[in-house]
Amino acid sequence: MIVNLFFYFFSFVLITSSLMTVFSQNSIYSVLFLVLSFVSSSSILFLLECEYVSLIFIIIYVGAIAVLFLFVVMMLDIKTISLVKDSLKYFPFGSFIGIAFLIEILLVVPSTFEAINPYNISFLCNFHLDWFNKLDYFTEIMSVGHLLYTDYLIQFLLSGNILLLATIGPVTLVLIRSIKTTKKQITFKQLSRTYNSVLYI
Amino acid sequence: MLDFFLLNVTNLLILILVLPLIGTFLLLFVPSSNHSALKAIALNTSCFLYVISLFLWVFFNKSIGSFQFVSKLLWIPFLNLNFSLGIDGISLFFILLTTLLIFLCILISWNSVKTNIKEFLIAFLVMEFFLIGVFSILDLLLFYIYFESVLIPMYLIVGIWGSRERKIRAAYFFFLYTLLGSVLMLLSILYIYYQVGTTDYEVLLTFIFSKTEQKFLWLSFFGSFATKVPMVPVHLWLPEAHVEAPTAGSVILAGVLLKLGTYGFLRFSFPLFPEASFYFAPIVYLLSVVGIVYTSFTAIRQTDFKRIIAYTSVAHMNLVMVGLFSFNTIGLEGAILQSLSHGFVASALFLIIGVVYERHHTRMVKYYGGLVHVMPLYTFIFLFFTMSNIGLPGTGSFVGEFLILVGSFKTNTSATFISATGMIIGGCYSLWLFNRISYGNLKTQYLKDYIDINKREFFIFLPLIFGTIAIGLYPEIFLNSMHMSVNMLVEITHIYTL
Amino acid sequence: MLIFKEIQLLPEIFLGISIIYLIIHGTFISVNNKYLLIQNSVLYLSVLIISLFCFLLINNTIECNDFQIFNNTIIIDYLGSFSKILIAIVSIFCFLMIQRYLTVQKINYFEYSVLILFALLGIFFICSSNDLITAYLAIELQSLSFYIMAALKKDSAFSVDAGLKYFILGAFSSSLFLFGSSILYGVSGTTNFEDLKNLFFWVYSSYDCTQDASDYTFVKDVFINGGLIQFALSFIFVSLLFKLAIAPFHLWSIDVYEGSPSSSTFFFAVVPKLAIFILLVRIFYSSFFEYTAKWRYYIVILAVLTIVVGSFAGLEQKKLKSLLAYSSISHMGYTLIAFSTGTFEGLQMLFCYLFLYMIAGLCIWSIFLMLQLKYKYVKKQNKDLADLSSLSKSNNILALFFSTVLLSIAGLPPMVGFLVKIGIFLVSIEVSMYFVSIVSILCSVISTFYYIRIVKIMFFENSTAGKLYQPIKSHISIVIVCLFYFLLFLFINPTLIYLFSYKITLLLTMTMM
Repeated sequence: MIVNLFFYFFSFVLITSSLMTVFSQNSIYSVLFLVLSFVSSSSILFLLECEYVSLIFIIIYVGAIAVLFLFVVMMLDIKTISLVKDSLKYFPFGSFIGIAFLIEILLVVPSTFEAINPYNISFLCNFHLDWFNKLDYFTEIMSVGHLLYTDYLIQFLLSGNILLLATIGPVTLVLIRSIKTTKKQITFKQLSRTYNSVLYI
Repeated sequence: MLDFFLLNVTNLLILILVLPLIGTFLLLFVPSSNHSALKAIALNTSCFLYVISLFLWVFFNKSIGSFQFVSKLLWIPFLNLNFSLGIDGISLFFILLTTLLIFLCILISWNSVKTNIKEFLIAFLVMEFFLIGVFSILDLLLFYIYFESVLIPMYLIVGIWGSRERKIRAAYFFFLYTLLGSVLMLLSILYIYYQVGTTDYEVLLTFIFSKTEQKFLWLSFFGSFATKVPMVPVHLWLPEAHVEAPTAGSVILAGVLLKLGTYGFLRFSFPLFPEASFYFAPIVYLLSVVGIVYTSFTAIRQTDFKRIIAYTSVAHMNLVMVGLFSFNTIGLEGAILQSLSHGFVASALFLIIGVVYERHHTRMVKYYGGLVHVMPLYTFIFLFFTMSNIGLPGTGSFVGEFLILVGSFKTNTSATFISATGMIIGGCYSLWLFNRISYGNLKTQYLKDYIDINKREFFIFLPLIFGTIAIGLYPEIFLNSMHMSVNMLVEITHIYTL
Repeated sequence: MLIFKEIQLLPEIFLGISIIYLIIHGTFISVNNKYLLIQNSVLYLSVLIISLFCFLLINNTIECNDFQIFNNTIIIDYLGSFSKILIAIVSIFCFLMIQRYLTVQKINYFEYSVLILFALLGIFFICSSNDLITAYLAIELQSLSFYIMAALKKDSAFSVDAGLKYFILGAFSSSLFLFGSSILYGVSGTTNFEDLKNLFFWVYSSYDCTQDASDYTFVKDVFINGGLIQFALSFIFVSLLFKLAIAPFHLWSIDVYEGSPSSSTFFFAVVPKLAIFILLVRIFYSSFFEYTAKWRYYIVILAVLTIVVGSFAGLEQKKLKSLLAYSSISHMGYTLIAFSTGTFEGLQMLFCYLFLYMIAGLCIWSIFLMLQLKYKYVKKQNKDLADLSSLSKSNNILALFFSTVLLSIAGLPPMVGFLVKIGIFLVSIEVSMYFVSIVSILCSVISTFYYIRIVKIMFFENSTAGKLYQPIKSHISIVIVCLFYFLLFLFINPTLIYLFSYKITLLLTMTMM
């Protein structure tokens, strides 16, 4: 039961922090909320006993990507943006669609899973795949590696390709090959900044 | 190769269908600056074609009502779509009319078309190919393909070689009205294909549709053919297109394209949906009678020479519709004969406009007057065709109108009465127009130099005069060939309806 | 690791390896020699690679069997191989056509060809995916390179804007796909189409719900009522519709097509649609056929909406590119009608229509790319419709070709576009969708209006101050002429496409059963 409580708690945190990532006006806060959402989702993975995946999640997303994000956000000259005008315009329609989907989910999901057996109410049960046989014979890294390098070999290669593409693409987009337009430090501009024109925490 | 065609008469039709394409192909290889060679090729092709199509009439067996010169080529065996050709007494004369008028059209535009001559000639030859295809094809879907394909060269002719800036609007009108009218026909053709499994005409003749099906199918076919005729609510494209088209375009529009509608009724609506044709006949009568009276009155108050003639042809074609829906041999033959003579007379009238337009570049009636003083030969020809437009005995229109009125008198007396009234109004505006143009004083304040028609123009008019008189004096030579086919058509419609 | 059966995937593996070699080659040459402009040579190398890929594929083509390899995640069948060959040939033509555009617009990155190759790799994997994970990864590979291609013209704000829009909406739709697949996995425990087919294909037709309603089990609830499955499927469906730009989800496509460089738009419009439709067919025709039978009506509504939007919104356009974008939207509507019929013939006509759509799109976009206006200082790339006004005077044959192809995709009778369009209406009449066919045929007349407007602009307008076009290289003009004659040939002998699509459908339905 306590596991369920934890699950609900982390899911709540996850949803709230993702919403706050979108809605917060200060982009540094957004990144921090993003970190929070990563952490909570990896905790949910912990609860599902996928320790390896959740640890990887934390190391890569929080340790590398989110920090990189923070770094970039601090480097860039971003103004505070006001979201109120636009969001008011789109709020009725967007919330209508959102609520419709929510109701749909609430109608469909419980009706599918209700009254099967009491154990099933816990979100941990998944009797279609025998995770015990699949995973607990090996350590988790072993089983993941086993799956990746045998059954899902081609998918593994494909994701490798995607990663390669994801490195080539940004480089192509930002690489400027002529010397004239290279960004240089403008000392005067840097010195004349005041608190009014920048973001700060 | 040659004796293959000469010995085997059945291949004559294929030869006629292919010849315009050969002409087009030859034209493609001539540089567009070499005007005389271009014109010579096109003229010779069309002339040759006309002569060969006369052979069609010679070899035509008058004692058979069914299709002759039948041949079948595979096209999409997968969908059971085949290229079957054949003509009967109904379509024979339409083919002859087409080949003659295209030949004349190329002669007409000998000097008047100055730009893009190569494209102009190609458009006409391609159109000839499509028109012969429409009249000789025996497959419903292929008929639709040919029927719609005619739009494209005509659209280009109106749009590129038209006279004024309004031509673009006219071309749009023409294109979209006809396309919009006929798409529903496409759907019903597909429905027929789905029901029967083929669109071969001779197979379809043996298939009987249920009453409700017939009504819907007939209505969608009607939408298409009525736009082409044109019947009253959808006739607006015709004056526009006529006024803006070059002379040759108007001639072919009045002479052949309008006949596609009546031909469609004869060939498809009647034999395939006889009950629905009977069922909807009152509506057709109503629309055509309204059309006759309304367009005749409209013609009186026009100021544009060409617009008057355009409205005249609407009135005449509506009269043809009255004849068609009389459902007896006399009325149907009269309708075909009237279509034929209208092909001669209306084309000649547009040519007459073309002659003065080429000289003075205006079509307003008020600028002309007293042409009899300076252009006597022209005035004579104009008088002749005005008289045949009214329906003077001895000209083709008289025979056609008389037969139509006799035929429809049996089925619907009141409609006959009103459409006969329309003829009287027709006399009013024709004579009025002729009077304004030919008599009175010369309006030298507007137009200075007058030249009577030259030899080329005279010889263009000559076959038309000859044809009109021939129909008027001895219609039996034409009626002879169509008796059997029309009788068969009437029999088919009566068998299913009784 | 490759056992003998899996050698079937050799073409894709060849393509992947050559991409990596191409990157190494380009990087070393260009970096070592002060950024040499090697994009032309890399482009021709890519053409070579695709041709070799094609050759391998033709060697490999299997006729009437299907293999499932790599733990059943890849399927090799006739549908996949044929459409891969078609896509490869089309993309060879694309490569040849965009070469001059890239030079004129100074998009001097050799990475451009590499990106296209990546996209093609993704597309080929979509064609042969037999697993939700493979499908998702392939879609991602394809769309990721598309995002970059859209934004690659860095000095144009429109291009960057297009790339950003494409990225955000594309990522959104991909996440919908992922969400749907995760629900499917949660319910059924598998992501494999084959397993899903075994589980779900016969469910509705074989089971009568009215009998023994008393024993209420999980399996029955999931499988018979299938609420959650339909929920998941609708997510997957919507995300694929996003990629196809079907009507309520089409709004991104206009801005993206308009803003991105024309060479990229060429690719977005012509190449990926067939692959996405193949995926749709694999999911909704073979795996979940019975489930989707219920919501055919809604698909039809979407299709009609798409056609209406494509026809009416196209009337207002002033730019040639956005007009073509709307035209492609309405064409997707017609294919969706064929898709929604759920019959054998519908499937066949769907493939017919898509093949012809690709070939005609190839013709139109190549002519569009060839028409470079002669501006000395401004390299204006986005053509107004008025820019075509003097085309018939400066290059009459090209104007003729252009108008013929336009009339063909408008579906006017003596062109092959008419034949495939009546194929669509034929199948819709066959399943008694009369109202749908009436509405869509009227819309097709309306869309004819904007096609003949282009014809009007090219031929009817007498402008005294004409515009000049860059001369066209002879080899490109030869390619154009070949394409044009191929279109004409297809009208004279349309049996070709009918037969191929018939064979595809036959083999597909054979393996479905």
